[in-house]
Amino acid sequence: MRKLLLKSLRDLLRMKLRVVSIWLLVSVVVFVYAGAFMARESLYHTRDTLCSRLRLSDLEVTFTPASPDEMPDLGDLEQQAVITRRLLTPGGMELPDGRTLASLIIYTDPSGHPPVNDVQILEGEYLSPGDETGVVIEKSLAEIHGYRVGDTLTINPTFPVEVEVRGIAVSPECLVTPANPLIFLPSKGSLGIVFASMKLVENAFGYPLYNNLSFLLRNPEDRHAFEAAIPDRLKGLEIERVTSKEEQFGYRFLSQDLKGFSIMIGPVVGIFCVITAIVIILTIHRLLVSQKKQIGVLMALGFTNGRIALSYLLMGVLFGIGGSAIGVAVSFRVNELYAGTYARIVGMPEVVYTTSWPHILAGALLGLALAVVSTAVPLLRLRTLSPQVVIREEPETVTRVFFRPLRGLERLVSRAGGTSLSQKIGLRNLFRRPRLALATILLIALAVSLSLTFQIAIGSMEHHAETQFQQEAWDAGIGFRSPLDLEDARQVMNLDGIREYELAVSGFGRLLFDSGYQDFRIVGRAPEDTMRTINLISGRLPADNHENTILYNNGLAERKLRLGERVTLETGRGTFEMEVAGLIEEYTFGQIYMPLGTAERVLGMEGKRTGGLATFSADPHRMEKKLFENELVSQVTLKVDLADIVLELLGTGKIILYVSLLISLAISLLFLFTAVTVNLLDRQREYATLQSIGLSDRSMIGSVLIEMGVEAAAALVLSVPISIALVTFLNHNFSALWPQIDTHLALKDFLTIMTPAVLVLPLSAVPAIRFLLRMDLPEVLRSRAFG
Amino acid sequence: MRQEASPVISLRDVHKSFRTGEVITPVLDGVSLDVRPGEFLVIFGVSGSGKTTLLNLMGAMDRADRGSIRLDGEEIVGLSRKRLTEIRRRKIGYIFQFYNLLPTLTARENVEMGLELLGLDREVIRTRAEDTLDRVGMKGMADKYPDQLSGGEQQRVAIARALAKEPGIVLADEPTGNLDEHTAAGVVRLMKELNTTTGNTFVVATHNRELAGAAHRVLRVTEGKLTV
Repeated sequence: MRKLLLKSLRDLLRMKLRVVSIWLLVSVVVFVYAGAFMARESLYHTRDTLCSRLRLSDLEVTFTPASPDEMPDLGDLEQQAVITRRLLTPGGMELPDGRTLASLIIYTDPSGHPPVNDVQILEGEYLSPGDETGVVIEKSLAEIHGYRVGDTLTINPTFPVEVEVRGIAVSPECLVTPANPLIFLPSKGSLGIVFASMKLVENAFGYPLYNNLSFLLRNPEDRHAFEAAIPDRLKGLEIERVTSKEEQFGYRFLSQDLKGFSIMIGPVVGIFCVITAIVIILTIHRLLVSQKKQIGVLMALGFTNGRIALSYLLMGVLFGIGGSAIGVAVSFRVNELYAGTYARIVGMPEVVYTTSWPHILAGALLGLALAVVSTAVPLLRLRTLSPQVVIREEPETVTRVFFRPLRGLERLVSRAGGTSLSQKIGLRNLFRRPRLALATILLIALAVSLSLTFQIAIGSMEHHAETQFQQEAWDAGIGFRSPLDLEDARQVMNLDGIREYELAVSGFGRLLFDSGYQDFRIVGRAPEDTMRTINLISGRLPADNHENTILYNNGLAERKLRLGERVTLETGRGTFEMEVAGLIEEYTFGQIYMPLGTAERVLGMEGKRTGGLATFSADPHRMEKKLFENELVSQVTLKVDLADIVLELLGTGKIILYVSLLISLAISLLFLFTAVTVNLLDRQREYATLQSIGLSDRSMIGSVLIEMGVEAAAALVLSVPISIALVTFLNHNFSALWPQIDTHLALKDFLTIMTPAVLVLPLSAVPAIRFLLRMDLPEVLRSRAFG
Repeated sequence: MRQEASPVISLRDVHKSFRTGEVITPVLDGVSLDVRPGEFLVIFGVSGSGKTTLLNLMGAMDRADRGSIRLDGEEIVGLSRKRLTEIRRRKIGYIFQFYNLLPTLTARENVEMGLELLGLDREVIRTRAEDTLDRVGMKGMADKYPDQLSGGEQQRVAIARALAKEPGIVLADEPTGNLDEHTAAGVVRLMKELNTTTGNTFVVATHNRELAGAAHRVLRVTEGKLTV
């Protein structure tokens, strides 16, 4: 057995190129799996590290603004938590380019960094007590809107104040670049956050005002009891909302979005696994065919089929070990690639990398198992072989019943192709060795379709983003600063340039489950509302304006609900039993829909509206500016900007696909080189024989290129259905996260991948052709074809 | 050669045909044969006459369609694959026309490979391999790879591989078919000498007349039948 294993090892050494390409393929499976999951863990770790470092609040209470005299005594609460008092005022600010940006001004004590919800100064300095007009801006105002230290801006449209930027900072409340949580789609840079001195409020009102208490519990385990006691302990305050750390928008968005890694990596790794498996199966199969006589001799010597199979299985183990080792080593870099790219796109200030040994081990075992199982598949036929069957000459050119039609096709093609010697030899090689030709075509097709799959997936995603909202009838979503009476709301919307509008009610509520609760934004819409399109995937839309039903999105929800399920909704008004009437899909998470009348009732907003949808008869950006001039308007989201917003939301997916595309391009190139080179070098005796009987170099090169050209053309055609099938598989899996993305086939995507492939293929034959032209004919012809 | 001992190989009314697609080609048509222990038997016949098939049946490498084949008194027709493998391992040494040495093993390693299957001690394997290579005149080339050896040298190594395990029966299929006249003569002499010195029974399929001249007995295969 020892010599048998030694033989296998030496066989591997002789097929270095094939071994390296298989190692690389296996390593891709390992490092994509391990690297992507480590990236996810790194991003969670980053979130937790930053929140801990900057002391993100465990609990936040928002209430109607109160003066110091109106504030309850917090001495008792200070025993249990560190507390920061702030005033948060939404509004709008004019950007240097004239556009209006929704903003949030956070007034706070300037005497030092806040003990809860601190900020990390990136540039400049923090607020100081003597500096009333100095402000600190959140970094997205600098990165996206171009503000610098020393710039001036005007805040607070009700009492405009010109202030100067003293510092640029990172806030744990904005781990991802501030998305306006009141807009139904979060969008990078759609909210400008400014930290200002409470002195400005004192100057305006004569005393400070507070509408926000942030608590950092000394003992976080007491949180539920602490939260339950809030209404009692803050008696006298008109509490609007209590938000836990997990419900804080940025924290929650990150938590939900990172789930995308788990859902997306599976199918991506699956695709790499399938292709790696096919390559290994084909390689081992070819090896067995070329070593048929050796296998026969081993059987003649008395080796059992099982032992012989084990010796080849050793190759699979070595494929797995080598590939897994490379994959593990590279996975750390892939961790940085995925996590770093994601952080850059969503606006995280830094990444604190971590190593996840369980995922590394799982990835390595996956690679090893893949290699061993793939190697075992072609070995199964060894079970039924006898030495005589193996030793008897069974050339590939034997045309069994299955291949007989090829003879007729060969004659037809040869006649059509002309009488040149190169063409005759090239085409004959294809038709007389159909298995070899098919294997080469399949390998090339797999190489091309690997990259084509990811390219089409990205194209489908972009197309989906561009067309997703075309069916929507509105031009803008408008939010009011506070709930307005119906008449006042109509007055706001009766603006020159607004053609039509539909008013709505929104607020916050909590769904109670056995295992806990989840906060949601409630959107009430009239059943007859046609402006907003609801993508209903099952169930029904509400028919009655007062029925106790909700429409729910299972997409990114932590808790999945079933159609007809009864749930308890808790709001400031009390608890309400609701039924899930329909399941919908949309990009927003944390939002439920209900009939307008029901929303008014549960939110205590009878006869009030919080915003609405509108269509314009004028330029949308001009209308946006006009709307913001009204101090009652706090946010405007334009439909024309939504394609970019959706693409940003699909950011996780795009990152994974782009990185996968880059990896697949590198692998595909290597693949193409290997498939073509091995195919040519395997037949060097044949080419040597042709040269020995007088075939010219030119004719030989011509026949090689013709053979390769036909294989390449067939491979490119075959790669199309393979890619479509793989993309459909990917998109089907992604639909667990987002609304279904249909496979969109665009010529540009095919050309992007196939054009370089067509250029590379002939180049990939150059090393092998050079070898064939330079080989020592006598030596090659003397060697036995004893593979 | 012992004259009166039981035959070491015995065939009775053996039939064998091959199927290629829909075509069935009969190769052996009721062959009967006894091979005596220590005999140097040559089976003569032109290409395609069925001599290789006959050898493969004797060597438990193929199965007869019908008839009886006994090796050392044991009926091998109908035996399990496992048992046939065991027989090949212990009782048969096979020499091929194209040597069929494993290209990634040295001459010594090719010989040792067959011995490893017998479960022998490593030192015994090494010693026996060296002795057998020495016997065929290849001791000095023991660490060379097949592509570093001439055809004759490779065939000597193949003979050593067949003999090292002391099989009792050596089957050789056209052992000189790929060699020049001078080298072939050398191989014939070697095989004859080994037959005499080791007492192994040699059955050689060939169309080489010189080999036929060295045999104790020559049988001819013609159209699937054996004649003297």
